[in-house]
Amino acid sequence: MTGTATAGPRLDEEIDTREGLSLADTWVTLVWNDPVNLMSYVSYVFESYFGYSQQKAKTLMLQVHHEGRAVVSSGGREKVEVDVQAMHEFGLWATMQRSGE
Amino acid sequence: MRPFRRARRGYVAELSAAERLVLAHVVGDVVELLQEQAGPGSEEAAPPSEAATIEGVAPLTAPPEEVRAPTDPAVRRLLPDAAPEDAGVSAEFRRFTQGDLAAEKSQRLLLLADLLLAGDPQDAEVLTPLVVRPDDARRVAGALTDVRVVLAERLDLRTDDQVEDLHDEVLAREAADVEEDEGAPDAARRFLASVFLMSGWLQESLVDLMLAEVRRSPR
Repeated sequence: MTGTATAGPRLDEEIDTREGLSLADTWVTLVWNDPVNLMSYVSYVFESYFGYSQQKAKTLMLQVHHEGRAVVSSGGREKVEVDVQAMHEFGLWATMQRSGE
Repeated sequence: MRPFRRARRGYVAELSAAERLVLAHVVGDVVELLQEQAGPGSEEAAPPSEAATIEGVAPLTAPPEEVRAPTDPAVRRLLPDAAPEDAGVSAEFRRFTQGDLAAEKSQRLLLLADLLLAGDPQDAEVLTPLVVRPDDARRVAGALTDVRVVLAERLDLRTDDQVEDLHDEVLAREAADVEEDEGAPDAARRFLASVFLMSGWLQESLVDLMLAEVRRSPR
């Protein structure tokens, strides 16, 4: 990253404080229903990638199937970007948005 | 075709030479489409940033300044917008991930094509084993997923009911043993439909085994 060297520590502190105070930096990963992906594959992805229990994975999978989408993870923007990229690699239709939107 | 079962050497399905060729053909088409729409060379080379030029360092790892979204709806489905309501977030996500995602998707499709085309060609109807090593299973399942996503887009399948209807349609045709007429107006659609179902049966049997193993392994 270029251009941050001079601002370094002070900028970091500022970000830390902000994260502690606000939900604005919380993002969520959404997985959307599509007619292609098998329920077993969606369960496999939730259990193997997120490490969710069989029960939690099933609940989320059924939520995707019946309600059209489910929030499958949350966190800072970078963490959620990693999760969305992983979902796209698996071939699931995933998006991200700020929590509460 | 016989679905995947677990054997000591890996996951083993059985396919005829005809089935292998048909599936490998479609897999090859998907690779071509991906590379054309999102592969290296589909973007103009990024101009070196000013800082890098001054320091005399080539920005080898820098992503291109702008990565365009694929225009083909099927590829768009493989590489969707990460944040449909925030163009800036979507563009930045694309800039940092699209190249890697497209490369991995292409490579695992080529792995699947290699597996399909391995071995001596037999009589078109004779079933021969298709062996997927355990370490490759996740990538093969991903490749089958991508093939199905592209075929579903081409077949205009938008709902679970439409997929169900397609199953019924193909099975009814097989049961009736209808003579295939390659000149028929819907021959292309019937071809894509049968490949969609075949890749689905392969994927389902493979994923069921993989899921059972995830559940057996310690977390």
